[in-house]
Amino acid sequence: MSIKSTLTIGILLLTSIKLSAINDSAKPKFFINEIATSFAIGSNHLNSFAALPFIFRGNINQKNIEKSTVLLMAKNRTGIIANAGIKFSVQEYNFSINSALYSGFSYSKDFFLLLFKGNSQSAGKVLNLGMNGKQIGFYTLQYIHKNINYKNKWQLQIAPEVYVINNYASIKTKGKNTLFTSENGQNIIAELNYNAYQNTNAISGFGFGSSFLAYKIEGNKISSWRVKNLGISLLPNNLRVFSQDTNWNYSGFNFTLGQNFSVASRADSLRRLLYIESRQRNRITMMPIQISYGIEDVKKIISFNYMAMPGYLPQISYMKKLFKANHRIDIGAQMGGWSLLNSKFGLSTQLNKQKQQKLVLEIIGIESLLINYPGFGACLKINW
Amino acid sequence: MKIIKLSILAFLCTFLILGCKKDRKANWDAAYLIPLASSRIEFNNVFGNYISGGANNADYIYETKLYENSPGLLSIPDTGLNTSFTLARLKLADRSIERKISLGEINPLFLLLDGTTTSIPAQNQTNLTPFDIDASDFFDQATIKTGEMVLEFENELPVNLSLLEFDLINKANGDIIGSATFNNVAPNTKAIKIIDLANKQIGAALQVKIKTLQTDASSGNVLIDANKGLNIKISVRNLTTSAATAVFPSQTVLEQDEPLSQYFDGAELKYIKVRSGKLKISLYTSIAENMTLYLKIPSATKNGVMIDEEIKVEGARNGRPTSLSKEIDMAGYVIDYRGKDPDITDTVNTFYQIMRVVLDSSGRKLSVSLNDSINLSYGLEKLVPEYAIGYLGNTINETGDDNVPMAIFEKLNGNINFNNVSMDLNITNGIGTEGSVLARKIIASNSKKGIDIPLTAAVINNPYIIGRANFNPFFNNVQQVTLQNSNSNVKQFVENLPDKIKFNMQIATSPNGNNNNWQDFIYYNSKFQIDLRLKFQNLLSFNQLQFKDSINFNLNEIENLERVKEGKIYLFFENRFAFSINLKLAVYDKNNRFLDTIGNNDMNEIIAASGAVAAKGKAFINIPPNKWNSIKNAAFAYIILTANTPPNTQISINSSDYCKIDVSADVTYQIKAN
Repeated sequence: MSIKSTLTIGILLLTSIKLSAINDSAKPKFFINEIATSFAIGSNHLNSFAALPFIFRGNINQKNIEKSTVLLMAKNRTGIIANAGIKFSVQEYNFSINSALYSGFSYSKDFFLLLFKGNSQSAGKVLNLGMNGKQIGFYTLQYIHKNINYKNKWQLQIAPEVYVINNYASIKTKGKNTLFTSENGQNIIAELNYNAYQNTNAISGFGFGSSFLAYKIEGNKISSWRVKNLGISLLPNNLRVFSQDTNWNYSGFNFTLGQNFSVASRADSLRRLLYIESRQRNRITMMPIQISYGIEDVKKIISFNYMAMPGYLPQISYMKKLFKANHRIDIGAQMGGWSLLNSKFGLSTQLNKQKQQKLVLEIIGIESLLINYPGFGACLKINW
Repeated sequence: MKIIKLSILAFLCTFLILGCKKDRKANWDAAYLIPLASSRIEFNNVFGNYISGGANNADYIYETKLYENSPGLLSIPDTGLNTSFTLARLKLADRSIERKISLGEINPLFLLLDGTTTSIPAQNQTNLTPFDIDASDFFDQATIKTGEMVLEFENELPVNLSLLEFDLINKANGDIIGSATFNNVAPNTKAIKIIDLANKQIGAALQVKIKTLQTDASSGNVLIDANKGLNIKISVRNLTTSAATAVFPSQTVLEQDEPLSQYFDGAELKYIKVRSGKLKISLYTSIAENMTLYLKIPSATKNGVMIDEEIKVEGARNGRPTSLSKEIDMAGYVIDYRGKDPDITDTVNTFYQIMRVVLDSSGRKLSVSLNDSINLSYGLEKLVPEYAIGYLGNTINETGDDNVPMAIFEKLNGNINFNNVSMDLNITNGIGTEGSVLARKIIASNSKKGIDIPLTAAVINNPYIIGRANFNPFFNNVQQVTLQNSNSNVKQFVENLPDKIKFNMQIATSPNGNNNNWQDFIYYNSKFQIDLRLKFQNLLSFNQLQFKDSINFNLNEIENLERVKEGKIYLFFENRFAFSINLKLAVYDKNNRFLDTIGNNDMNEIIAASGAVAAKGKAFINIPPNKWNSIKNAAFAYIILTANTPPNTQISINSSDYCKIDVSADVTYQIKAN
């Protein structure tokens, strides 16, 4: 999505907010119900300061890379989710537009060390480079069909949706992937077997699917099931494919004094050892399906969450509710997903009781900003 | 409301950030160790290509060619015959026809008296009715250029013919071809008249018009025979035509039987054997009659058989001329240039050939005019001799100011001291005649230092005579001029480390003319060559001896090169040379401007071997960030090896010595996440 189109959407939103305010007394034809934005970085080891540049750009310094190695395990996971969306009504119909980026990776310790520290420090050791990753960025236009009543117990919301993919990349190693650099740097021996796909066109593909919400209210207790991004997309636009399935031993080139040779062509030959690039016309991919189950009462919120992304583990979250006047504070923790165990803090403020205006702020893993610990996220949401 | 606005602003900011995801890149530095190259520096990498060398104190020899001339010299010019001819040379056959004019035709009264015996009074008739004569046996139509018609008249009458005058007329147009008058032709006797037919047009239909026929009275009665009369025989002979429709007889229309001479730029050849080349025959004719071309070259023989070609040529058909060409491979033929009959007249540069073109009569009448022609050419083309014998001529070749590279020192600079050095000029004469070499100057030129050292020796500016090669068995005559410290300044000459030898020489063949009485010879592969052979003892020392070689060092094509920040190049070496080596890289931009030197410190020294024990170790070249800009802008580079022998020591270099260097780079590279 270009800056220009983003600004256009922004201006439209501002205009619509203003219009809704002016015509407050009149029956609204268009009404914004919710604006929400969030991001979350999860990892079992990646220091938050090392992770934040993946969203907000910038340099990852050696200190933070070094800190990120403390909790490195044989198999590691890191993921990023960033969302911005708006829910609105036109007459009695409800819609939402959302922009999202999902990145999820699981990888070996050696892969991380090779990528972030290079092979100099691991010369003389065999590196195991297992890796599975996927990144998908997309816009969603959703129609929310509300409240289908099931046996007077469950209320069901079905939201068919279309996706416009603006960013897609994936990589997956198969079998053994190793790399060995001799201590004197004279040999690199590799066994590579992987496939990677990349499409960074402005519009990479289209898809369709649906999201569901089923909830049941029993007294003060609300139980809910939510399925999000249940859909598939077609990437029809000439995907770049990088792959390799070979063993090789690279020891530089033989150079004889007095004979012509080209340094650049030698660099090309090394690149060809690392990957072979080709094109693939079409690829169908699953959207990052999210399934969650939540129980909420006046004292607590418990939720279970799972998402079909590489490295993502089932996640459980517990929040204790504390009320004061028009404000509510939630304090708790979550465990799983891409992260280990992170604190969770929420603030909900009733802005206007009559209009049901509410501001919600949620921060996950605030401790990671204070100590060397992975996992951080934030969410800001306004409801009308 | 303030909170709402702030929230909206935060939302929009996040939206913008997400929307601009593709512009966003996290980056970090990582250190990568990459094998770059392996190299093995051997003696000939540094000293160019030597041709021999060995263990300690053996000599190293280097040879280069100063001059070569393959007179292969003799250029044989294309030669042959090209001729065309027209009807000026085409004859018609001599032919005759007879016509009898009987007594009955002369006067029908005699038909009544046929068989009777009576006396005949004197007759005088004039302007008799013309008698037709069919001359189609001669031609249908002909415009005669030269030739004549013979009219033979026989009187069969029983009386004396006192006067007969008649005209021969072209019936078609009434033109008089000729007139004849016969006087007093006795009975049963003949008389002849000849008419010149030059420039006359004659058809097949002729008429004889008797203008006057006077006979004497018979002496008494005579037997009247009405069938007898006047017999006229008309013959044509020696006819040449400018146009004719006729039956042409078989005839030789072209005949060459003569020697042909060639010019060999001063050489006088007796024989050549052809290595390659061809005899090419081309013929074009517009005449509708078939022909045969006979070509013999008795001077050109292969295995004792001369060239003898008979080529049938079809005549033109339906107005379309015939063209024909044929090539005969001359490879292996020996051409005797001694002329037509060497036993009588032994000459040079002349070969004997016979050519004949015969018109083959088909018996058909054909129309031929002066516009019809035959073009014939044959020639010996692109002859390259396998050998040539004769007098090759006195040739003088000037080299002018010329030079040859000295690969052995081409990439070296510095100071070198050889224990012993000598230089030979090997002069090879593969030609069967004497030669001479006048070396005006031979200079050792070190263009890197800008120093020229001229050779000082007896051979300079004094003609040096070299004898001829041997014919059978063939071998070159090789003579050697050896230059040593005692007879020249060769040590100074060589220690200048010349990358070029400049020279100016004059090379002559047969400097004293035809000494060998046309017994000079030359083979296709014969050459006259001067080689310079340098020999130095494997005991030498050097100080800051620099080897410099350029390499293509344009790294701009390497993807993401700008992300390399700094690095270190490791040199893992195994040095078996008894001298140390310092390795540097001087980088230049595409405009040949010097940018920087990399490796100009002491850390990159490859130490010398000690005796038979190789020096092994690691040297490295630091490339700090400020040097990377130069590297990134480089288009090419010089690898500079600076070698030093231990102070005050002469070392030996074994030809099996080497310095193996494994190069790897440890670079800090900025990785950017997509």
